Amino acid sequence: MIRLALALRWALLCGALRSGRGSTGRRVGLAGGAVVGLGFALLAVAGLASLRGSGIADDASVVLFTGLLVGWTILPILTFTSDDLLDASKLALLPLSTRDVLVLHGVGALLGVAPIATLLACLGLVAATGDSLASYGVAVVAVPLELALCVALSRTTAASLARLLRSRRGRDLGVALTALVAVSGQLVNPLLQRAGRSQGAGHALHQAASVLSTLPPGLLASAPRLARAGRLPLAALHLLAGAMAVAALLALWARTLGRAELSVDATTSPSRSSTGLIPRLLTWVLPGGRVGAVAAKDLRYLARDPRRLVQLVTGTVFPAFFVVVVPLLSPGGHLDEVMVFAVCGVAVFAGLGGSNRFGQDGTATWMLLAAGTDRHAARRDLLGGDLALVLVVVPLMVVLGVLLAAVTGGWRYLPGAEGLGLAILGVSLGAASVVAVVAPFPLPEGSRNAFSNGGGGQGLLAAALGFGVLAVVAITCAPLVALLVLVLHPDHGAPLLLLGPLYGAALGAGARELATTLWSERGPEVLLRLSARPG
Amino acid sequence: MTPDVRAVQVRGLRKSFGQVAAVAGIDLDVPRGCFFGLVGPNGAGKTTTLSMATGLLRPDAGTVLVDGVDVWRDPRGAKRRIGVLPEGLRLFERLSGRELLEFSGRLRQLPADVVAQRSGELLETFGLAGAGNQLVVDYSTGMRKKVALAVALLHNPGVLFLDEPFEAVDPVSARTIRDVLTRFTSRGGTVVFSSHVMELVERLCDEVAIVNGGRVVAAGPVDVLRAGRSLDDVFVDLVGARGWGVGALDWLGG
Repeated sequence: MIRLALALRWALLCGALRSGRGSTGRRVGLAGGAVVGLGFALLAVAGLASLRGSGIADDASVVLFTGLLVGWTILPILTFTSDDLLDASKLALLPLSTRDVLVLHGVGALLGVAPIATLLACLGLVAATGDSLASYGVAVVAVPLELALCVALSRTTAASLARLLRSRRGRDLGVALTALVAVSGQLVNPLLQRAGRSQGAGHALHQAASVLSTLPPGLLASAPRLARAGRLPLAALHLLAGAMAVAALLALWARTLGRAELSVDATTSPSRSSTGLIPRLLTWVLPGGRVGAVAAKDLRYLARDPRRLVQLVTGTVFPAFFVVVVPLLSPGGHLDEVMVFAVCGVAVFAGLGGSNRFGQDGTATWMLLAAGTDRHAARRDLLGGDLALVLVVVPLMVVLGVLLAAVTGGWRYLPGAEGLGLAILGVSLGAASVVAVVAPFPLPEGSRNAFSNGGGGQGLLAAALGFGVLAVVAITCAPLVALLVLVLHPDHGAPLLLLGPLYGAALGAGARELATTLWSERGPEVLLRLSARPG
Repeated sequence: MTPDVRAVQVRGLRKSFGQVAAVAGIDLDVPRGCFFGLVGPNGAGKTTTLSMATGLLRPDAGTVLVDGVDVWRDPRGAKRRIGVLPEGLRLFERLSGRELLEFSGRLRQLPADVVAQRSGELLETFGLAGAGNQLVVDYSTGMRKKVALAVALLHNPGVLFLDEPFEAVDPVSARTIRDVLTRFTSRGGTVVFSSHVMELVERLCDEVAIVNGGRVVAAGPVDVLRAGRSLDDVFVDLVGARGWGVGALDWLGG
C-alpha cells in the first residue's frame, strides 16, 4: 500500500505537469513553488546552523516548527480542489479500508515540494542543536515526529472540512484565503519590523518562543535544548508528548475519514431573505431600469464573488494602507500633510477596476446582448457599471481623505484632494469603459487565484491596458493639476470640489460615448472573445 | 398579399472560424406555431447556427428574419421577439434565481410589477419557488436550465431558440420543460431547439432539420422525413455511422 501511495502521488504529479490546458501554468507554479520552498528551507537550515547552540537558534526552531505546522494546516484549504489525494470521497468507490485510505493519503502527502521543503527546514533543528550526542539523537527523533504531526493535522483538517471544502462556499473561502495569505506577508512585514525595532528582534522572538514551546511542535523543537542541558528525561517526555499528539491526531483523522467519505456536500446556499435585485438600502439611490439593474448586479457581485471583493480590496484599501501605515511605521516616520492627495491614487485604482468589466462577467455577458444593445441600452450598461464603482469608491475616498487629514493635520489640502480625486475617478472610469469594450479578456472561470488574469500573455495585456488608462488620466487631468498648483494653490482647492466632479463627469461622459458606440456595434465580438475560455 | 406564416427564415447563413467552416450556407424556414427540431452530430454547426440566429454571433454572410424582422439589421426589434437559452454560456450565477429574473426584466425595461408577477409564476411553474432566493451558482444543472428557460420566457417572446434544453436534465425537469414548451406552441409561439435525443425530437417536433458539416442535409415535417422508419434510423443513414470491425468486443458479456 505504501508503494502504491507513492506511485499514485508520483503519477498525479506527472499527470498534472503533462502537456495540456493549463500545464504551462502548473509547471511554472511547481518550479516557482520548488524554488521558494526549497530556498526557504535551505535558508532556515543555514540560518539555524550558523546560530548553532545559541539561545536564538533554540527560539527560532520553536517558531519554525510552529510556523510549519500552521502552514500545513492552511494548505488543504488552499489546495483541496486541486489535490486529488486530499478528498477522501474520491476513493469512496474503491474497496479500501479506512486504514488503506489513511496510508494512501498519509504516505502520499510525503511526496512533493511541500513535504521535502518541510523535512529540509526541520533538519535545521539537527544543524542548530549543538555538539551533544544526546541532543543530536533527540533532534533526529523530533524531525520525523514534526513531519508526521504536520501531515496528520493537515489531513485531519481536510477530512473534517471536506464537506465545506467540496462546496462552493469552501472554494470561495479558498480564493479569499489564498489572496489573504499572498498579501499578508506584505502587510505583516512592516509591523514586524516595527516590533523588532522597538524591543529588539531577539526579545520578540524569545517571547513568541516561550509561548509556543508549550504546544506540540514547540515541545518537539525544544527537546534537543533540554537534552543538551542534561535534562534528558524531560526531553524524552517532550518527544513522547509529540508522539502522543501524532497518535491522537491519527485516531481523530481515521474517525473523520469515515464520515468524510460518506457525507454529501454541505448545503451551500441557505435561502436568502428576498429583498429583490436592488439592495434595500440603495433603492432610493439606484435608478430603475437597465442602469439600476447593471449597477445592482455589480454591487451584489462585489459582496458575493470573492474574486471581485479581493480585487477591490487589494486595488483600493491596500494601496491606501501602504501610503498611510508604512510611512508612519518607518523610523522617525511621520506623514506629510500633502499625503492627503493619496485619495487620488484610490480613484485611479478604482477606475482600473472597470477596465475589464465584461471579462469579469465572462460569458454571462450574453444576457446583456440578448436583451439588445442599441445605443441607449449600451450607454445604460456602461453607466450602470460606473455607478456601482462610484457608490463604493466615493465613500472610500471620503473616509480615507478625512483619516489622512486627521492624522497629518492637512485639513486645508482636503478639498483640493477630493476635488482632484473625483475628476480623476470620472476620467479613469470613462477610459476604462473604452478599454473594457476594445480589449476584453476572459478570466479563468473557477480559478482558485483571485489575482489570476488567465494564461497566454493576458497578464501583460492587462498591465499594458492599465498603463494606457493611467497615461490618459495623467494627460487629461494635467490641466486641473496645473490649475490647482499654479493658480489656486493646493491648500486653497475648494473650487475643485465643484470643478473636479464636473470636469471628470464631462470627460468621462465623452469617453463613455465612444465606448457606447463601440459596445453597441461590437457586442458579438466582445462575447466571442470572452467565449475563448482560458485555463 | 397573404401575411408571412414563417416565424423564422434563414438564408445562406455562413460562419468560419479560421480555416474551418462551422456553418457553410444554411437555409431554414420555420412556420409560426411550430415545434422545430435542429438535429445533428457534435460539431455539425447547431450551436453556431442558433447563436447567429439570436444575434449573439455575427455571421460571415446570410440573413435571419424573425417575424419578418432582420436580426442583424434591426437587432432591437428582433430581440424583443426572441427568447434564448444558449448552451455553454454562463448566467449571472452570483444572483439568486429571483434576482436573475428581475435583472433580465429590468434589462428589457419591463415594468417592475409585471416582472415580479411573471417571475413568481415562472418560478412556481418550474418548481423553483422554494429555491428562488438561492444563488444560481448553487443550482443543479436541471435547475439552471429551468431558470434560464424562465429568463427566456419572461418578456413573452414570439420565438424561442433553445440550445440543448434537455441536456443533463432529470426526467421530472424534462417533463416540466416539455409541458411549458407545448403550452407555448399551442398558443401560437414558435420553438426552435437543438437536441441529440432523437426519440424526444420525434415525439415533440412538427418539423425537423438535420444538419451535418455545417449544411442542412434534410428538412421537413417529421412524418414525411421518417417515411415510416424511426427518426433515429433516418438520422444515422443521412449523417453516416461508423461500423465496428468483426470480432471487436466479442469478449463483452461472454
